[in-house]
Amino acid sequence: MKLAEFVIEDAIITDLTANSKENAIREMVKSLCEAGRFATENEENIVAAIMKREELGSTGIGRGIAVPHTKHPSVDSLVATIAIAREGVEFQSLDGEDVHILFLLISPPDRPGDHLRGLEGISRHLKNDDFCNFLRQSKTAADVMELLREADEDRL
Amino acid sequence: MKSSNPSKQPTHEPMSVGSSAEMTSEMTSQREVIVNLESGLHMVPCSRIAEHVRDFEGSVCIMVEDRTVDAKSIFDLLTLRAPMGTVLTIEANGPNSADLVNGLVILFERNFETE
Repeated sequence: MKLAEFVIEDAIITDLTANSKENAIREMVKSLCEAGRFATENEENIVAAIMKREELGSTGIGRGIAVPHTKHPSVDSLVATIAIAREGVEFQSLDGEDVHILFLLISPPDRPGDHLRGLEGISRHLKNDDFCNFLRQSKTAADVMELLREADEDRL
Repeated sequence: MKSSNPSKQPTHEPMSVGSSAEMTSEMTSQREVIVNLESGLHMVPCSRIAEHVRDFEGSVCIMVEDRTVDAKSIFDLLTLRAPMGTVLTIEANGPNSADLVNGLVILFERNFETE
């Protein structure tokens, strides 16, 4: 699955300044809500669902990367946003390092295949150091989307 | 001198879990497992696999169709894209590989205690 197909440009945050895991997740969910991906009334419920998922084990999977996620009926297709935290966010990551790149995913409960394909697409590119470095250097949402398109087309 | 340590030598006993156990060589063990999770092999089971194999001295890979991933890398595991019902082949190469593979099979059989 191509990243540019489910990452919402209007929800990308290139200067995340949250000082905690919960605040980082809250800002990203709010950003997706403001981009019109679900009704405002669902915002708190989605944040709570993502935080509950974090209790099963941090989605901070190392190398400065976290992929918080949840299933939620308020979306009818996989949606995601990206945040870049210049100062880093403490995320109880598997390797103990602060997180600088966050991919937040929300998927419909009845489409587990979409979630797996989204995770695959994200992970395949996050293995690439160039992709991560360019992502961290991105200054605008447009820069991020251009990078995603290059990655989708294997032009990195 | 790890290779001369008798405690590190692989067992020659047949593997005890399941019927598809296969010791392909003294140091290599291989087993098939089926993903029995409704959500497929998502991030929680991938994390548990990576954690289980982290300290193994040899190599561990998981294969599906024409793809092979390093089971020590969660980033690799997440690219498996394995929905419910997928048959995976686990292969470990190194000292006590049979124990390691059997431990992974048990994780799958218990559904990683997530569902």
